[in-house]
Amino acid sequence: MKEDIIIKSRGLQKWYGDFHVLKGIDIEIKKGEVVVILGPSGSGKSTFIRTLNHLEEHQKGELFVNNIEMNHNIKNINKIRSEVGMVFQSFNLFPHYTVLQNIMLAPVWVKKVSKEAALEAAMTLLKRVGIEDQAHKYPGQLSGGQQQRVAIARSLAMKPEIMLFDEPTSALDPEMIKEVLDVMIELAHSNMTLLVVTHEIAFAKAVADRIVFFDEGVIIEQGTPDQIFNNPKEDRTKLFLSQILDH
Amino acid sequence: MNSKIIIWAKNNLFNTWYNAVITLFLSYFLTKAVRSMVQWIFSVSWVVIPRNLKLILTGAYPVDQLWRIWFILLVGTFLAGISYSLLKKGIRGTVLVLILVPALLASLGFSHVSRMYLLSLSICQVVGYLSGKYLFGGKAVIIAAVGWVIFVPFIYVMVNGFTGPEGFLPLVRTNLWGGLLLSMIISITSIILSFVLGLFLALGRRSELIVIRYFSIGVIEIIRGVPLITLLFLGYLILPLALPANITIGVLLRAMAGIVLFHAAYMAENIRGGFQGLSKTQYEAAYAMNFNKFQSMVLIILPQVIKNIIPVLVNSFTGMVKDTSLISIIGLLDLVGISTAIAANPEFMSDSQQVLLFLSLIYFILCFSISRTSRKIEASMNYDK
Repeated sequence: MKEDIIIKSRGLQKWYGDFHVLKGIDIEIKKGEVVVILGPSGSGKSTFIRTLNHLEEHQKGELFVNNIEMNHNIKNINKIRSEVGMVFQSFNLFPHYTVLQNIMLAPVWVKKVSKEAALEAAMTLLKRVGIEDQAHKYPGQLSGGQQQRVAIARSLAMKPEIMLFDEPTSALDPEMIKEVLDVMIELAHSNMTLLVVTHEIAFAKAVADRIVFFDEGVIIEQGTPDQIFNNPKEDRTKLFLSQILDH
Repeated sequence: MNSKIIIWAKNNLFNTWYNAVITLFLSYFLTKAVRSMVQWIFSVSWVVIPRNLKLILTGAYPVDQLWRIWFILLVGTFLAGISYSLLKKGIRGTVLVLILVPALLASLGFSHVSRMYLLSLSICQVVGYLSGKYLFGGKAVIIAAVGWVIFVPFIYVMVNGFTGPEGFLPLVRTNLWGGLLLSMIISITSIILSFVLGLFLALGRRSELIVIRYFSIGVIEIIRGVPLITLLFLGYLILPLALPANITIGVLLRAMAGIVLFHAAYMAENIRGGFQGLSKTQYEAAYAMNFNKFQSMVLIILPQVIKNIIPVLVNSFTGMVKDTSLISIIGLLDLVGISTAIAANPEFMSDSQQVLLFLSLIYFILCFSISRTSRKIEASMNYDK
């Protein structure tokens, strides 16, 4: 395995009962690459990125994250999870902790960072996502866009190598999408490896190094934004793009 | 103001002819009932209450050791005072009432010693509040939490004593515990232990390990299928038979075991309901951030589960306080047991109604304050506003 490949999946398969959701995913992602995953709902794109931090377990095939094999070994899973941050569609902040506590909790308890250091890092992150003035509020008191930015800061606090975004703007009101995308664009330029499941075409065009198109549990087509949006080869890609672009 | 009431009555009580009839009819009976009740209250002699107050409150607890109960109360009110200083605003009224009640009681016709103690209860709350606010600063939370945790075993040590028949804290055998003291000890124990045991049963029922899961389900279902009174008799009559002859367990302990087991099973189901009500995404967020299972449970899942089931828990807690009265059936002299004993005294044979009413008042005050306190806690845990 080459040094700069951070995610490597070969023949990855998964079933939910009888439903064959991933039918053999082969992909290699380089360190620092920004990959946007497109596809209709039910195509397995979310399931795929959720196998990358073992929120879902694959049943066949191989998966390496940061050169660690994903298997049943809890040590491996923990090592991988400490390298992978995740941002969810519905934010999933902890409602009973303040913004600051949400961000400090994992560094203090999981990484055993001192409270002072965690606090300093958390404030820096809140500044980075532009909501340091909300530090002492509870998530329920913030707008959706602000909550999602806190969620991003919370993941970044663990200093991950890879960030996974599972439809981060789908639950947001339209006027709040931009503030979240701006943070993600800034991240994309910071040399972090990003995997983003989204329908935000403008974001994909602006920052993606590669677009991967999923349908029915397989990768139909992948390439640069220019190739996929201006010159798609597969009919299913063309159909999907026409559906999400003309409305 | 007066015309507002008339308009309201016109619109709600006398808006049709049949509503008017019902209103008149009901007010006639209500007035009559209240009148005869008030008449009764003023016609009977209440001397039975002050004469037996010591019995009702502490049973046969030795009089020369009563200072220990007062001391527990003093420590408790001091801790309560520290806790007031931590709670958010909006409870000033309640706190004021809590502080004033002992002081007002002290103005009644008690002995000088009791009056002094009662006044000290008020003072302890104020001192606790002030030291929580100005002396302890940021450490008040820790002091209060640790204090309350130590407080429960402290009650036992103080009530029971440990220095043998003589000495600083001589042993007071459990058959001398009685009245409100016994009811409170059993209530507090069953609330705490059944919650802890119920939590473990609920977690066991969700366990991935089959043996633990089925064991928990078995315990919960068997106990829920049996009335509390049967469990009490089982503990009272059957348990001694099942134990080796040289091991004896006191009646109180056997009764408490029955009560705790019984309520733990219900508690487990309440807590399980709380787990089911919590979104799966909270677990995912916790695991994605690499919290281990124990950390996820303690830091993220349980606080939310418990917050969500506070109303149900409080309902169970008030139920437990009232259920303790069942232990009088196996001969323990709790509030109900002691009042039966008082009514059996030839001197007070005709006064059992007064004792019963006084008893109801005590239970009402206990349960009402539990539910009021829980409302305050609930409100202070509302993170959305």
